[in-house]
Amino acid sequence: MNIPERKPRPGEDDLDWLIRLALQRSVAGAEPRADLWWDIRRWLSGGPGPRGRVPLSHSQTPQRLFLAAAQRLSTTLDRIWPAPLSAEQTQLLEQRWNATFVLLGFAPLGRVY
Amino acid sequence: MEKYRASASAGPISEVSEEPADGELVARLKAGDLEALGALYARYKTLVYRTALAITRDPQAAEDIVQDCFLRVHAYASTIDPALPLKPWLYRVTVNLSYTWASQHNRWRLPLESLVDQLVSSARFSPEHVAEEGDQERAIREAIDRLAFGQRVVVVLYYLNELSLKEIADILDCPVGTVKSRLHYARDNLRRYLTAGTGAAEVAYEYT
Repeated sequence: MNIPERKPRPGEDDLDWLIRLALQRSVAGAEPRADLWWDIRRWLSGGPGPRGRVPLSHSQTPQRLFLAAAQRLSTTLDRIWPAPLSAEQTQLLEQRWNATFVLLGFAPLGRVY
Repeated sequence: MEKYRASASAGPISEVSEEPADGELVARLKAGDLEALGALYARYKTLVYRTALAITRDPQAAEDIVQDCFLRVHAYASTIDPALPLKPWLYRVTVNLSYTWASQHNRWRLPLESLVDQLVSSARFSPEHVAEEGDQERAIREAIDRLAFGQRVVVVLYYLNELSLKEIADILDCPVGTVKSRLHYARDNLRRYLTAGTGAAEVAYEYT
């Protein structure tokens, strides 16, 4: 193999020098895209990440999992129960609850006796 | 604590400004100052990106790793000791994220590429071919890509980032002897790929 240029360190052989040269040249001048920082800032402000992806560090944090679950529960409850109940709805709910309670409570007794 | 103090050696891609200090920026970040994270990003984005790029060889993956790395700095700022250099912490996160990426990305791709490599390797990595092609760097780069992940990481940290064996051991949280062993077998494998090109021993020393 032809050895390019020089050996930078005493004690290293040709292979060491070639590996170092190949690695350093392979990433020379490489930079992340200029707007990546703004994607990170947007994500930290609650916006979407780049290409809509969910960063690993966010998806795996227990606190974030808990918050995500709480938000989903809240949204579901809002959909089911969007506003305070009217008097009629309250009365109907009480009647149905009473009926359900009686059925659930006495059905096992009926089975026993 | 001392093990990280020796890890601030300057390398070809690791030169950073010293003002303000990392510790000060971390302390400001803990207080909720996102501009401090921006300063850390500006200081270390190239280091993280080039290290991730050298390991993964995928610019998109390297950008994802940069993003996740600095999101982790934000998420775990409260656990980072401002008295310690940040660079070893960033190296460790970068390596871990690269490993996650590699384990997901290479699950199906590597066996196929390995098969193709074995079929064409004698022609691809023979000295005659390298001499004819006149592209030793590319041949070496391809040979590095064929190394097992653990060996590739050590090669990148040692040759690209110019870290010592002790610094690499601290980052990878393993004994110095393990790092030395991985480097030794990596060099043996690279020499073998570049001269004989059999490619059969790349997984043999994964956990040595």
